[in-house]
Parts: sequence; structure tokens; C-alpha cells
Amino acid sequence: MMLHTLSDEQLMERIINRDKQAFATLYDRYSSRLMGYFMKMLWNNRELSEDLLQELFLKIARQPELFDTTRSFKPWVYTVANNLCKMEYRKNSTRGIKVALDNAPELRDSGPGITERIDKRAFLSKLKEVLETIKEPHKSTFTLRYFEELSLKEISEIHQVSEGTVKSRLFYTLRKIAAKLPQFQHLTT
Amino acid sequence: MKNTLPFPDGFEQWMLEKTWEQLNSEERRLLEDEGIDAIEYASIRSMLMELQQLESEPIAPPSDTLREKLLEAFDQGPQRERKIIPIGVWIGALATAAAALFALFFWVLPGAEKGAPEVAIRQKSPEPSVQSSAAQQPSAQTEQTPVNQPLNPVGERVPASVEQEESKGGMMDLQANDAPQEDLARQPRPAAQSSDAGVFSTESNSDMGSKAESFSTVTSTMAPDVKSSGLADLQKDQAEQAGRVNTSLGANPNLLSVLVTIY
Repeated sequence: MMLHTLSDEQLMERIINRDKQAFATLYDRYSSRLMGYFMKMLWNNRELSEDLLQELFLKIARQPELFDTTRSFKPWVYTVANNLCKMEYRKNSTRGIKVALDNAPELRDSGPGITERIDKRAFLSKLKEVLETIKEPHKSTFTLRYFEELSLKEISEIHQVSEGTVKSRLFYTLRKIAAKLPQFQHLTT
Repeated sequence: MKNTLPFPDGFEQWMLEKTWEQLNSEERRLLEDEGIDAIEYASIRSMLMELQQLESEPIAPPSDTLREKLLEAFDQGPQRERKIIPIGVWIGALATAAAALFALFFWVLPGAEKGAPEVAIRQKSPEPSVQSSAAQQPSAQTEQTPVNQPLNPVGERVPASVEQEESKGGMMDLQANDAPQEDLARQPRPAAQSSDAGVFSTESNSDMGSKAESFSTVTSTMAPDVKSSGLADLQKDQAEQAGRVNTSLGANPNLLSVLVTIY
């Protein structure tokens, strides 16, 4: 049976029964996007993000039964990831460490549409910068919605709040970011 | 922020579809109540449209070593709960041990010490007789000195102090009595004795026979009552000393002595 056709929850059932291939498949399916989520949430710190990714998958490898197979995997795994980020925030607030923001990667290519792409890159870079000033839980709500493309329902499960609260938080954050990035409004107009 | 904004099924789609001009008066009024005017509405809408088109930035995947490491971890099986003894248990065990030691030092041992004086008293009881006999000895000696005090070859009497030192009770006497007879004869004598000829001159001989002879000579010079009381005195002195040791323990039950005794 092709493991790639199985749902996340089915893979987790197999992982609970110690199916190594199922674990590898799930890792391949989620590692990059979770890595991206950690990077956005943790000041683009790649090393730290990889550490947390490892911690998350170690949890799955060693205690897969923590997941309730009757529920959806995606909100669960993002909940775990979000909790790891919260722990990291606490650690950093205790230590008083200020992690430097990593600037957007340099553009080395050229050609048609480069201006637009530079604008997009610059927008993304500035957006991340502004996002750092947004406090929890608004920041993670925004990231889960616009970077991880989770549904409102999934976010409400992760944060254990109503969908109305998720909408409200998103709108509040969107309004705040828009006020801080007036220079990029021309992109869509 | 109140949940009264006109976002029926998700504000995003709703905002993306409608411009400010397309909003009806009720919707505009709700937004204006929140302090959102046409300009800010356009700004938020613009931002939302940008986010919708946002291409997720390509992020380098995690390293292959991490994947291998995790697969190895998976092979090791589920995590077994290690039997880690909580710190509280350690503290409790240490506290119990400390309490036990405390009780031993300050309660059990002093209690045992309280019993000791009785033994000491029993052991001390013969002491007066020993002391009395020891007290009697000097008087007898004093009385008998002119008769019993040995003469040196010159015909002079051995100084009383030397004789008394040998025969008097207490530690000195006990030490002398504790020593084997040969050793007794071998013990260095005071200069006054060693300088004398006759009985004490044989002490300088190294052969055993002469030493035994010298000892017999010494004992022969003792008064009969002193000689007969020699062994009895030794036994009494030993008993006395044992009693003294016990008494010292029983009489001074301070912590230091208890600790020293234990260790």
C-alpha cells in the first residue's frame, strides 16, 4: 500500500504500531512547512527552528499515542509546535535574549518582473519585521492563517477559542500591520 | 475588538469582494463605529489582497542528518519512563537519616550513658578499699622503712623516694606491674639506683639470668607484706583503673566524649 495516499491520521495510527515508513512519510510531509512555521515564529533563527522541529518529531517518535487518532492531525501538530514556540518565548523573556532579525535573502537574479519581485520580497521582509512587534496570540493566529494557510476552524482548535475570536484577532492584526506598512499599498492598487 | 463587524462567513472573502463603495449603509456604519473609514478600509483590503497572493518564501528543508537521527530515534522504540526517584524522596530519605543520627547521638546514647554510672559505681565500690590499701601502704612502708628498706653494697639505704616510686599505687605502679617481670628488671632505674653497686648493678647485665636474679634480689628486699600484696595490688589497680575509665565516661556525658567514644 502506498503510504503517500494515506491521510495524516492513518499514518499516525501506523506510527503508533511502530511503522517506521509511516513515520518517514509523515516527516517528509510536514518537516518543511513546520520548519517554515518555526522560522517565522522564532525570528528566522534556523538553528533554533531545527532544534524545535527535532523536539517535535522526537515526541511523535517516542510517544505517538499522545495523539488521539479520532481527531485531526494538522491542528494537533501545530498546537504542539505553537506550544514549543511559547516555551521558547518564555525562555527568551527570562534570559533577556534578543534574537536578531534575519533579513530577507538577497536577490541575485535579474530579468523581467524583477521590480515586482523585489517589491514582493521587500514586502515579505517588512511584514515579518512588523509581525515581530505583534504579541501573542495574535502573531501565531496571523502566521497560521496567512503563512500556513490553516482554516479558521483549525486555528480555533489550536488556540482553543471560538472561530469568532480567531476572526477578530485576524482583523485586529491585519489592521495593525496595514497601518504600519502604508508604503506597500500600491502593490495591489 | 467587538465581534459586531460584518464578517458573516469569514471577513477575508467578504472584504476581498467588496470595495468601500460597494458596502451598504449598515455595513459602513458598523465599520465606522470601529473607527474604520474609507481610507483605512482600502488599506486593510489592500493588505489582505497582498497576503492572499503571498507566495510562501522558499525555506531550505531541514538537514538530512536530522531525518536520519529521528528515524534512529524511532527505531529505538517508544520512550520508556525511567524510574527517576523524585528529589522529594531523596530529601525525605536524607531527613530520616539525619533524624535517626540525631536521635542516636542525643537520645539513645545519652540514655545508655545514664545506665553507665551504675556500673561505674559498682566498679568504683572496691576503689575505697584499693585506695585504703594504697593509703595504708605508705604508712606501713613508712613504718617499715627502717627495717625493709634495702641496703646498697655500701651499706646505705636506698633513698625512700626511689623505693616509694616503685611501690606506690596509681599509674606508675600499675605500669610497673603491668610490665612482665623481665621488663620490670629491664626498666631503667634512676641514676641514684644505677650508680649503686650490688643489687642494682646486676641490671646492667644483658643476660636474662642475671636480670631474673636481680629481680629476685629486688623482691627479696621487699617487706613480706609488700611482696604478698604485690599481685593483689596489681589486680586491684587494674580494677581501679578500669573503674576509673568507666567512671570518666559516666561522669562526663558530654557530646564530645560520646562522639569520640563512638568514633
